Amino acid sequence: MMDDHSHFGAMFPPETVFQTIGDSTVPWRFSTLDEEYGALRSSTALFDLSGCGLVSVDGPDAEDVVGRLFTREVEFLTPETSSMGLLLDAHGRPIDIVTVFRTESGFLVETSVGRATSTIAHIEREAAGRVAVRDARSTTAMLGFEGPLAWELAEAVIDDPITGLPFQGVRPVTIGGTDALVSRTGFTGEYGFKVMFPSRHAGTVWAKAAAQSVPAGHETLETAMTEFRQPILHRDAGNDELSVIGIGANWLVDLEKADFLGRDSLLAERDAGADELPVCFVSDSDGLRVGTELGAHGEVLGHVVHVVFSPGLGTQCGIARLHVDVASSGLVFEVLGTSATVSTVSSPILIPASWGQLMSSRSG
Amino acid sequence: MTLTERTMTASELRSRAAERRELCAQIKEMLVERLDLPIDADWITDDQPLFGRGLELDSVDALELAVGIDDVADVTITDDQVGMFGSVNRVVDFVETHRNGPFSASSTLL
Repeated sequence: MMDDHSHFGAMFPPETVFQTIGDSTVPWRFSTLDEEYGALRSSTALFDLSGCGLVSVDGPDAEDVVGRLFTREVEFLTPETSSMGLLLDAHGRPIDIVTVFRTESGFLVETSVGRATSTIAHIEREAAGRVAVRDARSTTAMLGFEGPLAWELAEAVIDDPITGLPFQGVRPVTIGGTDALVSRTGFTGEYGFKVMFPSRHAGTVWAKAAAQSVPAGHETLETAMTEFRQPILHRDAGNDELSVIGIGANWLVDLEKADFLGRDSLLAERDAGADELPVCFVSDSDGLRVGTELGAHGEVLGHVVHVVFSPGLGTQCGIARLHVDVASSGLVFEVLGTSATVSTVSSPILIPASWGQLMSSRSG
Repeated sequence: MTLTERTMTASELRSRAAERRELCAQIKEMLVERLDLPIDADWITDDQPLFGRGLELDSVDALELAVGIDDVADVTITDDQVGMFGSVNRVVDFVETHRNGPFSASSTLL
């Protein structure tokens, strides 16, 4: 089965494994986790990001509308920069993690994987007809290049130099003579670039990029995001209710911003204090699942909310929600009912390879 | 060694976590004060990223942070220890590993 929204599906090998996440079916694995993850951590992985929605919000009131919904300031956002933050409902609950880009006519909102439909509905509902909201997925394709050598792939695919493009920077470029947009953003902590271009060129661009990288599925993406402690809304709450504080996404919310939808509720939630907080862990054995109870000497002190196998660590790692008085890095908990343990660790669970490497002088 | 011999009791875990929380709080206060950040230190989580996506610190801030940690904890940071800037927790890991003697809740970094 291929994703209705993917423009690259015709290029995928027949053995591709797919998974449905929210409103999208995404390529989960093209070859093996080891191969794809290895490329991400050592050279360059190529990601089909069609599962992320691209939503244009246009009109004279666009800044007012997006500014009211986004948890960070957009007033000073320029076409050369982007910003990652949250959209909340009136109860302060996360609707989506989005990246916002300024455009000539308003804003482009990149949604999380599988959340385009619900995010578009949220924006339309809250905007109440004041702006034009358009799902741009049908006409725009998006790829991600991530890895310590991602800049080499970006330079090979993009016609223009990307010299000096800073983190979260955005630049209009051409790809094969066609207008495109590149942003230096990513999900895994490795050097990352996203390229957006007209979907009619999807096959050509994929072929060129895939010839110089390793296509990687969302299994690799989510594994690396977990290791990097990049929030994944459809995973990080496990079976619990989704909340900003509950998934540790405070850093995506600027509480100094005077007003945004959900702010008052979030302040009340903060003031009330949390019973449990998220903490990263590494396991000494396999077999952990969402909901696995953790504790000490038989006493339940928390549970697993998200767990992956990390090829980089050779074991399972993830996120647990622990009682607030033991929610700390550097502790060892029993996996209740077994002889196994987990150790709580600091974020990022695994340091990205790119942190120890400079990009070439050409890319700055 | 049995499992219970290898692991702390809940009471011991709470005590250790309280020490750790105190040290994290001190690092957050230092960050906000030294870098004049427009954020309430209590809103910063222990796993908050510091550079780029998180507090959006830059290389100048990194230098100020390194000097600050050296001043208050007598711990010197070298260029190859880039991973310690990954989060507040990573900074605390570094300080706890490199300080003379274990951290105690009665001590203060500030």
